[in-house]
Amino acid sequence: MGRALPLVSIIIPCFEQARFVAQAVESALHQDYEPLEVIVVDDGSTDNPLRELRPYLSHPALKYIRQENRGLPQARNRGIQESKGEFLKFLDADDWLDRSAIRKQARVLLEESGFGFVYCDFMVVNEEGIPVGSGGVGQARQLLSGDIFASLLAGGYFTPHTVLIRRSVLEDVGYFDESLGGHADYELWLRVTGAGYRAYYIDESLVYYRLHSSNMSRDWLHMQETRLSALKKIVAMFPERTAESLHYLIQMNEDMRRANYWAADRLQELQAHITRLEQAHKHLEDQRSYWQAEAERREAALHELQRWVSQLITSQQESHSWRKRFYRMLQKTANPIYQWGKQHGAGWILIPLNNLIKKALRIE
Amino acid sequence: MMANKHLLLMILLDAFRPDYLPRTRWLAHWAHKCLRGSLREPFGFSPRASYFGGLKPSEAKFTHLFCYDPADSPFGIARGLSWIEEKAPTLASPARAWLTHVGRERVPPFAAAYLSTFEIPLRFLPFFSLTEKYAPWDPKVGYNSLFLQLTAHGLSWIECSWPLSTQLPRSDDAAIVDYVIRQLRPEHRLAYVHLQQLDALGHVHGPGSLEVQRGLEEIDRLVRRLVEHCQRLFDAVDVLIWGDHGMVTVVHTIDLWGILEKSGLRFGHDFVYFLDSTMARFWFHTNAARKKVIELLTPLREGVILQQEHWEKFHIAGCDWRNGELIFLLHPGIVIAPNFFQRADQTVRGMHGYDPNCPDNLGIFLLYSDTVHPGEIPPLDAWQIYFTALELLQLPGPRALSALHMQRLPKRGRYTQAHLPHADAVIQQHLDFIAAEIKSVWPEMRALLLVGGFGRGEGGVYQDETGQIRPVNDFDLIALGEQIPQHDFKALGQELAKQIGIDYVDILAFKAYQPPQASPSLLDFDVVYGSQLLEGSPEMLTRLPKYAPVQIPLSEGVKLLFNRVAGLMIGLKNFSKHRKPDETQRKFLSNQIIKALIAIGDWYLLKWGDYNTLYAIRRERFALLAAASGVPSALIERVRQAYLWKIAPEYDQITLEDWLFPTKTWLLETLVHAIGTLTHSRPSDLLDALTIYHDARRSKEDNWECLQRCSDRQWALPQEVFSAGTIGIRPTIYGALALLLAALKPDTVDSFYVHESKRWLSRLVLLPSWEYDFEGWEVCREKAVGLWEELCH
Repeated sequence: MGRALPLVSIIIPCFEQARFVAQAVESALHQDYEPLEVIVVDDGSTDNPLRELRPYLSHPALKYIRQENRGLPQARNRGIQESKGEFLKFLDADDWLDRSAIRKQARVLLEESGFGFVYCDFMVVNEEGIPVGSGGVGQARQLLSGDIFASLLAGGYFTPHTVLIRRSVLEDVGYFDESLGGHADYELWLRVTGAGYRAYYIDESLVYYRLHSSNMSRDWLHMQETRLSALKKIVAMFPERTAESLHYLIQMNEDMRRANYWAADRLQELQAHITRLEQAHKHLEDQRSYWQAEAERREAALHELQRWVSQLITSQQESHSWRKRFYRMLQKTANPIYQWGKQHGAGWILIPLNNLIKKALRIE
Repeated sequence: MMANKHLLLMILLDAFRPDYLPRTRWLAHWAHKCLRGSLREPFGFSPRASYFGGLKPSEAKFTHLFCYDPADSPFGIARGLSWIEEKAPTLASPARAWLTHVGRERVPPFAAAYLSTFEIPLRFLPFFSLTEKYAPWDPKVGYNSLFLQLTAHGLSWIECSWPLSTQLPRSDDAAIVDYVIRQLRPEHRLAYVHLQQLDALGHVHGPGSLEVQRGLEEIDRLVRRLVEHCQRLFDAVDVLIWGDHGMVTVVHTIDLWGILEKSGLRFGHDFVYFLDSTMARFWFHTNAARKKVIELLTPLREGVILQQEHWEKFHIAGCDWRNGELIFLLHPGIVIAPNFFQRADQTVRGMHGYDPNCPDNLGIFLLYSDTVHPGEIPPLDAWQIYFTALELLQLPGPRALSALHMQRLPKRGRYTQAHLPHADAVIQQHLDFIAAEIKSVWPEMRALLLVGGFGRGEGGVYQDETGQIRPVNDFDLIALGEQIPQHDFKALGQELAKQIGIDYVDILAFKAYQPPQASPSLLDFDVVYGSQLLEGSPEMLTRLPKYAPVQIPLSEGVKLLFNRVAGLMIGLKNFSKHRKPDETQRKFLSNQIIKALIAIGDWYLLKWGDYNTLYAIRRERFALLAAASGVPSALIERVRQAYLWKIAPEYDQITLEDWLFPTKTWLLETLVHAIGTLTHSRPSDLLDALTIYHDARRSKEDNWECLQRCSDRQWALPQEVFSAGTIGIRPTIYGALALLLAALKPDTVDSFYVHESKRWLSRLVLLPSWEYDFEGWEVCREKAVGLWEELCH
């Protein structure tokens, strides 16, 4: 029989999120993984989350703690202190987990001792909980697993609840920096990876992130300030690693820039080629139109000629019948003369005369 | 007093296999003055640190040109172009050209000379870097190379080698030799020349190809020119020639790439792999990926995952992790197709980079020096080149690994390799006796050639019950002279065979032996590469054409199989009745069984285009390539035993119960397969194959030749059949024999085949009526064998 699975602690800080917290707790308690403990740290909420949590309070895995409002990182840290799990997950009260999230992430940490934490993609949902798209964690950075320190410096945000981290890692590098507010999680991941811990990324949306009007990330100024503070702290802690990472990032940036220029040049060449092809196409179209018109004109001329020819034939036929009629009339008229000439021995002259008339009238 | 001008000429002949040597003229002759042997390449494809630094792969740290190192990759820019192959394939080729151009700016000149994207997918490129960045003469190379030591001692040297030689205006071998000859000065102490063309020819056309043969002739000419030029220019020249590796005929491919693509693992995320032609190297990001890859690779019969003992044996245990975390090495004769160097549509017929101990993967080794006695040495490792050169250059360093200090192999016997005292002398006596007898009936005979096993120096001998040494099976001789006497040489051969106590003495008498320029028979090939002149001038052997194995027509192989069927049928005289052959018949039948098995091996070697006259080479080559192409292992083992038996026969090894019927089945199965291959057909069974063969091979000319040969025959051959050309005499005889062999079962005869055989034979001779029993089988056998001996043998 294999060893018993380790306890996973899901820490849910909650401040003024009473309307969402039940869903977060529900998703945490109903994971297809055991053993679990769920710790809700009520950070001095005024919207009475306890009322929403009442149905769950009797659950043996749930622990409810209330403290005066101290801020998000402090609430998470309190959760860490109160927890006993070997692996820890931080779930904000307005978000929730897929039923398989803990199982899939814990499995990686169990099988791969070389990774300090495991993280995944997240599904963005609107206030009503309807999915609006993936968080795109897998697309944000080229290097997702292994030593991701440098790639984290370049960005590629992932929410705290995408992470399952070993308690031992936090005991080694420390908890959330309580002075960094909205970037306390980012700083923690940098600190963990800066200390040499490797990360593994699961390319699957195992958690849900709710967008709503009171998200802390919407406070732009706060986010800017806290990020700068986080980075200053990291640079001071890991100057060598940061320098190496920046060197790598600069080189990568340079590479990407050159690659883009090259691709842009090829694109320009292709566009020029397309333009030339379009011009050639237009020229051929013009030519085709011209020759089509020319063909129509010639066809019309041909028709006209054919009409003329048929008219000529008709008139020639008409003229021939007219001449025949005229000749027969002449014959009738000349017959008495012929009879007279025959009687008087001058008939011989009438034959060439007759032929002459026939020739003149073009009658065969 | 001026110091002696002394040169060490080091010539690297790319992919020159030891068995290529007889296919050259000057080199083959000159090699007799050399220390001769073969060279094991260091595992992988990067040997320069071994040749010039004496480093084993574990010391050089890398064994391949590419390693996993994203941080140091000169192809980082490909990250921005990874979409091209999928989204804009027409731009892939210009993108590769540009990446190569940019990559070359990012590495030292030596690496720039060979940097290429090859066929590595663009999206994979940024994961890999080059390992061999500096030339062996560059102070940054990382070891104290031969060149650096010479420079430190104030001695000058010259080199022209890959990859920098590719930058010459012309980089073919002739141009390289021209260049070296132009540049060579009397003050040079070392010249290193790398001739490369043979490698590409071997890959594209295969080691047994005509193209490789022409390449060998060119190499022969160029090496001679270079050596003779150096000998004129210097007072003393030591010549060290080696092939960096051999070339194994490719008989099977595996689409490992396809297997990995379907594994569900993602390149770069779960693992990274590099596919060379003969091995795949892996680096894992997760244990799950490692487990999955091991699960995928383990059942594949095409190769093995290298275990610790392999890593030790191949001296790669101390290599850098970036060189490979897990290595899947293919068995010789198999290549990964496609791989990162060859596209799927590029056919490869020869490859190296297998287990370095594989015989065809070995390169040649020749050392000529006034101070070194010629002889043969066992295979040496690539790094021993360095220690040998060090000694020849009189540079300080250890001497134990130098080839000059290797123990010589015992001198090979002239006629036999059997370890029996005086075996050669006994054979010599027999041959002297035979030669004298032939001379007595043909005093004007100009020359006498010994061919076959004894001609090649690997004839079989055994010691009989009285302790006497006896030759096995036959002596094959060719006698040449102006006027062939009216003498029955066949009868003379039979008489001599009886007197010597051997199955056959085959004597062929020719006015002049002029083998064809193309399409040689097996005999022609044997004469050219495996014969000895017993009488006459050696001049006549030097004029013979040098054949490529691929020139031997496949029909020769089919004919060989039919003749071995006939041999078995002769040996099976009265077998159906008694089943207890006497000692003489048992020995004869054992010989025929062995010959049949060898014919099976030979057929495959002919089909693969890599036949060799020597049993020892055929044995190893067949075993490797047959395993690669999926020939049943029981057959492979028996054929191997048969080749070995021919060199060192032991009759007690062969029990008819265990050998006869499996051999019969394999022989007939191979015959069907061979006829299908020869006629480009797919025969459904033996009868179908024989009919196809008959229809394809019948000819009036062949029939008339038969009629001439049997002018004193005792059978009434129906004349009208032959003139009409509807029946082929020889294919009919062969067919009848094969059917009769098929009819023989351990306890009975198959009446269907006997009936068919009778039907075939009745086209040629009148047969008595009988029931289809043993008697009928024996009558048919008698007739068919008689016809074969008269008309086909």
